[in-house]
Amino acid sequence: MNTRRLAVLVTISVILAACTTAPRLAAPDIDQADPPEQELNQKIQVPQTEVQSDAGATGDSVASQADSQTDTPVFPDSEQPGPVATPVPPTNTSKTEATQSTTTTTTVVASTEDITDLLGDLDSLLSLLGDQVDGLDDDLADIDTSLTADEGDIEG
Amino acid sequence: MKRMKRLLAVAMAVGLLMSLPATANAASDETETTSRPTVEQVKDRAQAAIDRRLDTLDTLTLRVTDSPHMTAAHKAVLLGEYASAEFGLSALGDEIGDATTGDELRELVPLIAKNFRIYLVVIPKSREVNASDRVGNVVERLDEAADTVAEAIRRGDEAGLDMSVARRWLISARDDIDEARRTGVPVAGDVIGLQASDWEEPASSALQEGMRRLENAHVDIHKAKTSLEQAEKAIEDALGSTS
Repeated sequence: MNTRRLAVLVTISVILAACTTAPRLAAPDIDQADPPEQELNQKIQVPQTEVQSDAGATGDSVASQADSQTDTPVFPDSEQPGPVATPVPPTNTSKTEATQSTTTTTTVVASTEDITDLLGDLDSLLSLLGDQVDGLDDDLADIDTSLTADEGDIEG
Repeated sequence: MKRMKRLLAVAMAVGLLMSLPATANAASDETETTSRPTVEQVKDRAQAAIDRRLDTLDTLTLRVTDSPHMTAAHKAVLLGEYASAEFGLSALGDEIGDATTGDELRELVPLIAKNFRIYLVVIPKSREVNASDRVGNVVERLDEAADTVAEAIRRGDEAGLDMSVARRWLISARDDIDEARRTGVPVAGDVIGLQASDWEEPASSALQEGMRRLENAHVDIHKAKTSLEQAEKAIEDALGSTS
């Protein structure tokens, strides 16, 4: 009787043990298919096309990074490139490198154009100054003449 | 017969001698007529001198009114003086017209010059005020041009261009602009208060000093303008080196 009870207990414990260990063995498969990471992996590959077409639509961190790239003005408002000037995606470069090189190019182009505009303003100012300086030449000649004048026929 | 000839010769000699003083007197009378004008002639000449000064004041009034760079305060002072001088000269002209004796004219006519000094004080001081205010105007424009160069240099620095040469020219230009401002701009204030009664001193010295300072300012302005043009060229060269 004791032996039979013992056998029943052993059987029950074996069954219980089997039930509790089965999920643990299956867990690694579930972890590998973890949805967030899978989704992230898919989105990392997306931006290459997404940045050009519809930046900022996804709202996650990677898409935000794409936003910051496309929002940086490459040209002044008045000189926004038309549809023909479609940016070419960088090849064989990491996203960080591409961003840095684009930013540097943007600064130089904008500054040199601004400088050229300023030099145009300077030309106008110097031209006006030329007229004023000529006028001053005449003023001084007149003063020189008047300082050597006298009161004429009435003096004395 | 011989006696008759001698008498004739003596008579001719005496006649010649007697005619000499008459000739001399006639000549001196003519000289006196031309060197001592009549009262009316003096009045005419005085009125012509007054008219000439009134015309000059009209011209000055127009020039000062139309001057694009003279300050409003300086215009007000000068135009007020011109109006006062016109009134005074016209009144003096009336007094001269009423004079009847040479003594009166001898007293009144010199006042045309002495009381107004249109040619010795009013004209040169007006021109110096005008030139001094023009220097002030030019200096402001030079400041503006220098600020534009400074901004271009700043942006060039940001773009990584070599702006060292342009910067040196800008410093030189700023120095010359400051010097022109220091020497030329105060001249107007120094001479605008000069009156006819200040002739000959201190008016003469003040006007000569004003002229000297304006000439110095003129040189500084030319130098500043050249420095800014050189700065512009240096910036253009820096831009060209990138393309």
